[in-house]
Amino acid sequence: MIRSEHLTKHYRKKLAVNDLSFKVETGKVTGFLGPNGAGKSTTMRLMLGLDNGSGKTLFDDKPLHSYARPSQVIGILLEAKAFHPTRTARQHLRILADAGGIHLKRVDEVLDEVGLTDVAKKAPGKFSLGMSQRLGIAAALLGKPKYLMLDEPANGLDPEGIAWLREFLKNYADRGNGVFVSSHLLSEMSQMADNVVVIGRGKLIADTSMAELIKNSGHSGVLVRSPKASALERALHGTKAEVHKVPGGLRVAGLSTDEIGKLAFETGVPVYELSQQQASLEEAFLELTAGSEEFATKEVKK
Amino acid sequence: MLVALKAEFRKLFTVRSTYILTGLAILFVIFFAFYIEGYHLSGKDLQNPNLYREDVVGALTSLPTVFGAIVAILLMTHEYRYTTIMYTLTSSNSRTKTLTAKFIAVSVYALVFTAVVGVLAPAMSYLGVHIHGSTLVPQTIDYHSIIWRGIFSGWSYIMAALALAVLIRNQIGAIVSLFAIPIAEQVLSLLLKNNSAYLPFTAQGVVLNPAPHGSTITHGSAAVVFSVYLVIAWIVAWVLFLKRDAN
Repeated sequence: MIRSEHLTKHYRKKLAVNDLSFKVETGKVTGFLGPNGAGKSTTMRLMLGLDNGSGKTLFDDKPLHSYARPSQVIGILLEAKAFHPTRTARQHLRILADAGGIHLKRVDEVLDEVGLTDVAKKAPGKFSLGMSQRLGIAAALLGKPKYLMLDEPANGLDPEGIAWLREFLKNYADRGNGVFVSSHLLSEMSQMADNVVVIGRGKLIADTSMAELIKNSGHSGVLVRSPKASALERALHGTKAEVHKVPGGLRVAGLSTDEIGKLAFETGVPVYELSQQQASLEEAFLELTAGSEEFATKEVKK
Repeated sequence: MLVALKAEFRKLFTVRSTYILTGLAILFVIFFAFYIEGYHLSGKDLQNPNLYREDVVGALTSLPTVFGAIVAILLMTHEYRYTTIMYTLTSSNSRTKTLTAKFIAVSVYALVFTAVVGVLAPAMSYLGVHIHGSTLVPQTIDYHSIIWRGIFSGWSYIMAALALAVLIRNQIGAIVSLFAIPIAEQVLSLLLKNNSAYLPFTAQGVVLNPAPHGSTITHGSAAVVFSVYLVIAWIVAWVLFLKRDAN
């Protein structure tokens, strides 16, 4: 398990990461979410010791620098274009293999794994963003690490690449490894991540399972459509339910469909629809991070 | 440590700039030593008993060594320009090991570069004179003196360039500083007069060249002066490398 405790980072007067503590479990994909400027990349850099701040991060109860070969503990992809543009893709990976004490035959294995064998002898300066991401993923996989830390790995990937990445990361975690991945593609994240860490303005907002995050969203609940919604609302006030008016009816949280159906029957309220509504990750995310955007946009005028 | 060193050598020898700049340096030496200081020599110039020594000095205190220094700067600053520093630092469990590996790799390059340039210059001059069919007077060379001064001069200049790169981290900034500091020293020398020999790059120049007019500093003292500056620069660079964010 990766355990980060009290990570804090100041940039002059600005507090970029504020006493952040969370964990990344093995066997699971942990999504790392936050609005732009929330401090996700800085947090990752702090975890790796690339930036100096306070707090600590332990990889299986040991700091990363206590391992003789850190790149065999964690593979990283923090920036897609982190390579010299005229050095061939293979040479780029060979340097990383040398530095990590990894056998050079792994270079061709990972190039094959990410589908870059054909361009192994090409300089990556003219690679598309998607190809650059694949090279970055190859670099992360080089040391067969127990943990992967990927910052926006799906950026620039084509749909086939995104699907491959999703399956790959899920399988990687299923083999007992830990995957910590940030992404703005929330639909992808919802299909991939088991756990989520959500931050806003450098502070922890949530560290929970994906299921819990969605279940606890205000957008989750039971949708009730009824011509006598007000009567049902009055009846629900005496229960533990949380009731919100939505177009066409009510959204009720805290009671099951059975309980609401029974109450409607007892109070003589006709019900046209009674369905369990699941919030999307996007709805849950927007709800959680409302007001914590560093660069908030204006509402679109219709 | 060995794995980091292996990676640094691979970095050095898998970019075109290393070959282009080293090649240019060698071409400059060949052109000037072979043609200007060899084939083209005539009359009084052929009576110069210090020609070979001057060839070594010329090669190690001019453009060729600057090219070697730029190779060292690029090895360091490419890491920040292309953000590969994050891989370099997370592959190793110690920043000290990383910087030591860079120091050793550049030192080896600097020593080989200095030796090649230092030997090539008189050799090309000799070749030029003989191909032209001229006869050069016997040369008086204090081998002991020219070898240590040549090696120190070439190596220390390239290591100073690497220190600037570690300190500044920006490619353009480091290269500009390499040129700007000696120019600033020339301006300062108007104020400092004889004492200008104690400025870093002026002292470095005195290791191979005569001292500025009026100064009595010896080659050995000049080497010590520049070494002090170099050690201080490296201590500051080392501390900053350990402390600063890697971006």
